[in-house]
Amino acid sequence: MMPRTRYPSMAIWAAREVQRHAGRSMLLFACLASLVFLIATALLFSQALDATWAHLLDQAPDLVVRRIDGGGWVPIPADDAVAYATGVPGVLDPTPRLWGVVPGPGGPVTVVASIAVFPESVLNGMKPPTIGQAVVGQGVARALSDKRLTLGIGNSLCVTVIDVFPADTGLATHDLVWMTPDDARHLLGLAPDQASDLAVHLFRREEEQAIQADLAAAFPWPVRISVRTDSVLRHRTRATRLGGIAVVAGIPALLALLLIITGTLLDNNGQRAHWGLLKSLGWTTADIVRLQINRSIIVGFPAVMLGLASAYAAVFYPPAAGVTAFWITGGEHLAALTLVRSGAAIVMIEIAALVGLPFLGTVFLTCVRSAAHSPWTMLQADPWN
Amino acid sequence: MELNTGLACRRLSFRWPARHANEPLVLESVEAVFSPGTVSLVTGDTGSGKSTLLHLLAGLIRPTAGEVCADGLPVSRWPPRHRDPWRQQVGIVFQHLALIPDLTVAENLLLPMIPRRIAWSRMQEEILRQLADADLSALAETPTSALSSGQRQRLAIARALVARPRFILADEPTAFQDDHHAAQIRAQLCQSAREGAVVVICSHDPRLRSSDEIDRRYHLASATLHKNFAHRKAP
Repeated sequence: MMPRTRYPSMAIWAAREVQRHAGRSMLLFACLASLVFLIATALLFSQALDATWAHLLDQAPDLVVRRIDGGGWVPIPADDAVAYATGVPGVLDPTPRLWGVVPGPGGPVTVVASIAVFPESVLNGMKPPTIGQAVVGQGVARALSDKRLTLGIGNSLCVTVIDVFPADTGLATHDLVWMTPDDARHLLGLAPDQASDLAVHLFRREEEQAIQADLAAAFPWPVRISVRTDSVLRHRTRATRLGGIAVVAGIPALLALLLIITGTLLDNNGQRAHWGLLKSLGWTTADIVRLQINRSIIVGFPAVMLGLASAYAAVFYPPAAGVTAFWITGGEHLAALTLVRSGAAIVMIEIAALVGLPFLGTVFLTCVRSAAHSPWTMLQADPWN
Repeated sequence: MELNTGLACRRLSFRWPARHANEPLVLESVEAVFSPGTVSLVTGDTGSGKSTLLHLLAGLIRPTAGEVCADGLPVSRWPPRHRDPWRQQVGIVFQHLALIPDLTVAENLLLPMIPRRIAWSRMQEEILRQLADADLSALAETPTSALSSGQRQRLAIARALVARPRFILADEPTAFQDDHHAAQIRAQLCQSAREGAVVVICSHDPRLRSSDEIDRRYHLASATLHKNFAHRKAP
């Protein structure tokens, strides 16, 4: 049985070895931390974006019906549309929505008048605006110098901002302006009985593809129907397309770099001679491997933790999160993006294993290969010969 | 199996591999027994194979023919996974000392203790004892690179003795010492022998050759180890 005293002394000596080779240890630390940061940032971002969209779109309508003609989108008659949709079996609670994109002080903003446009969780008990009032997203609020907001060009409207959507709903509300239906109609140029589109919930969500044809046939005018799962897929694709592929392609290269650095640091003449001396002093190959594993853990564990912590901060904490989003998506996502953290722990454990295990494997194999030689052969590599 | 019979060379031969095809044997059919409790001195010309003999006895290299036995066991034939742990019973002083220059004196002494299942408190005790025996107590925290040749050599001997090995193999252990310290080293090695260790010294040093404390003397010449009982008394 191995006595208990052996491991602390080995671990203490491993720490001394780290201190003794401070430059190499720092290089390894920096390499590992950077690698973990790069991989973790990309994967955490992708995972978090998925989780966030899934969370937001979970409460979104299953289908959205838009009226179209030869010129594109046209307003939909609200009451008629509800009546037509209600007649389709499986359709629940068809709701006309009032929304549109208009010029704002800092660029285009999305005007909404119906809470059906965005998930109820976003509202979270906020007081609805009255005539002449608006609730705005973080991106719109940032462009304001006071509480007055002027929107539109032709049918321009000036409203008072009474509240701002919380930062953690930024993904859905960044450029949003919520106002009364009357103000929205005025701004969007819609008649009193017209809506922008019709949100439809289904009795069975899995029927969303099958019910499209029935729904389209129920309207007397041409319509385009958007499916919720298509939206999810589109957002996920957009989120991961630019950054994800490049990062996934880069992971093997980065890992290879780590393995080369690890191998180079461990397998050199000075190191071999040192191990030869240790063996001539009574160390076994297993002792040397244990020492190197201890040493690698002393350097590697904090490096992996630092890399993960940095990645976590870069993905989930603004303003770093905005920079990360810009970097990964090429600027497609909002600067004040705030992502859902659920599931991040599992991803982080996976990343730690993805980097940590190959690293320890390299240390183990390189060390076994070098330390298994006869001590005399290893001693010959030293300058004292 | 014989118990505690020390180190024995049985028809031990050695030739350096991968050199010239007709390379002569460095050692040829060497027969010797180095018993516990004795100090053996091996003399010989430079290049006669004294260091090679010590390396063979320490299990650092394998013989070309014959075997090295420790307590009757053919350790030179053992695979590395058995021979490596056995080497914990060996304390070796290299001719080139092989100290780690950036480590302190105390840390160099710690190196052989780490894999030997020794508690920290006992490690400290042994290190302090060896530092005192080697006149290095005041230099415990000094980097080895800052020591003189004599101090470095005494440190190498202290490192070989610190874990109280059963087989002590010393290559030119007094080469850089004044008479006082040479006598001190001789006394240290003899003390280890009195405690039951096998001590084998390879040296040119006339102070060792003429010492009464040497129990057995060998002379290595023409790849053969000759037992030599005659010696001069120390003046």
